[in-house]
Amino acid sequence: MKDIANMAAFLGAGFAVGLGAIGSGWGIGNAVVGAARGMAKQPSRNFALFRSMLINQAFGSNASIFALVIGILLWLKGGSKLDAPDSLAQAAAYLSAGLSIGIGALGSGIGSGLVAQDSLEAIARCPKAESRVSLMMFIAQAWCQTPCVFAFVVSILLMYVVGNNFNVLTDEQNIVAAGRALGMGICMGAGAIGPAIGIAFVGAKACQGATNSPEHLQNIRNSFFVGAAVSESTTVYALVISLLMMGGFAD
Amino acid sequence: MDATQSLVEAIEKFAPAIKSAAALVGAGICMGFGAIGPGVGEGFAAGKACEGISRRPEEYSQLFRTMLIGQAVSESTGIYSLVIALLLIGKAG
Repeated sequence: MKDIANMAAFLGAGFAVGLGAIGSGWGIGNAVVGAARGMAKQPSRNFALFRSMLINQAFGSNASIFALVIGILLWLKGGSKLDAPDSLAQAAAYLSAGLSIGIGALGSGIGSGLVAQDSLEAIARCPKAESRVSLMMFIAQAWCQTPCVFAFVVSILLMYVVGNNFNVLTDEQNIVAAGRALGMGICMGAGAIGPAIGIAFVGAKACQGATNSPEHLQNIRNSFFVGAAVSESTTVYALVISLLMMGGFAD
Repeated sequence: MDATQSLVEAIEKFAPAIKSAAALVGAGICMGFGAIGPGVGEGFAAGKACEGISRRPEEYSQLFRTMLIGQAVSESTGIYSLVIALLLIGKAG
């Protein structure tokens, strides 16, 4: 088929931005839910809550910005002249790049909203603990973006590292390479959803714990770090499997 | 009828390649979707443990131990997915 890779790049751009915006929208909205509840509880902390809400919203939009970047890059690829526009493998690589970041951004956006809501309510409940809760919030927000960063890296690899030398493949090699590229993207994309939500759930509860008992903060921090690190393990498995599949392109 | 005939012929012609490609896509789906459940489950266990520690700080050691055991059991399905994905990649050659 002529220009199938260009078509796949446009389709991938649509998947990237379309799916990638779902989680972030939910997360950014949840930050406002937390801020509104907090303001109702503590009208005197209006300004501090508003400031914290804006920071949380900036973290929440992070995942969809990654998706937007990949979407724009794929859109530019779709409009340009490609090395192997009729190759099935090239088409699968571009479609898969879009799917990877699109599905991968879901979890980080939702997770960011969980952390935002609980940390804002914690600040409203105990205004004296604002600095402790904010520190915990920053760590949790940054940590729940890591699966999305892995998905972004895999998308970039699929677009720029994998997408070479497809014009010299035979038909058989082309079909196998297409399966390889598609598997890589789906593996990393779907693998990023669960751990991001899990890490964010731990972080949200740790933010709430930071207000309750300041003298036991060390214990809460310990269990937060250990629990979140164990949650992260499955996304690392997904990254390892997609990098292993990528290694097969060298053959 | 002609289209179906040629499709069947094409599938027969490229059967080994299609088999490898399907194994690789299957490995990706296996590890990707297999990672969702353990990730959420472990996070839920650790989150509730944090909540419990903030409520009853004196029970820290017991709560922490329960959290670790619960997470290790949740992890098992993720490891099954990892093993199956590695087997499928080996199958694809």
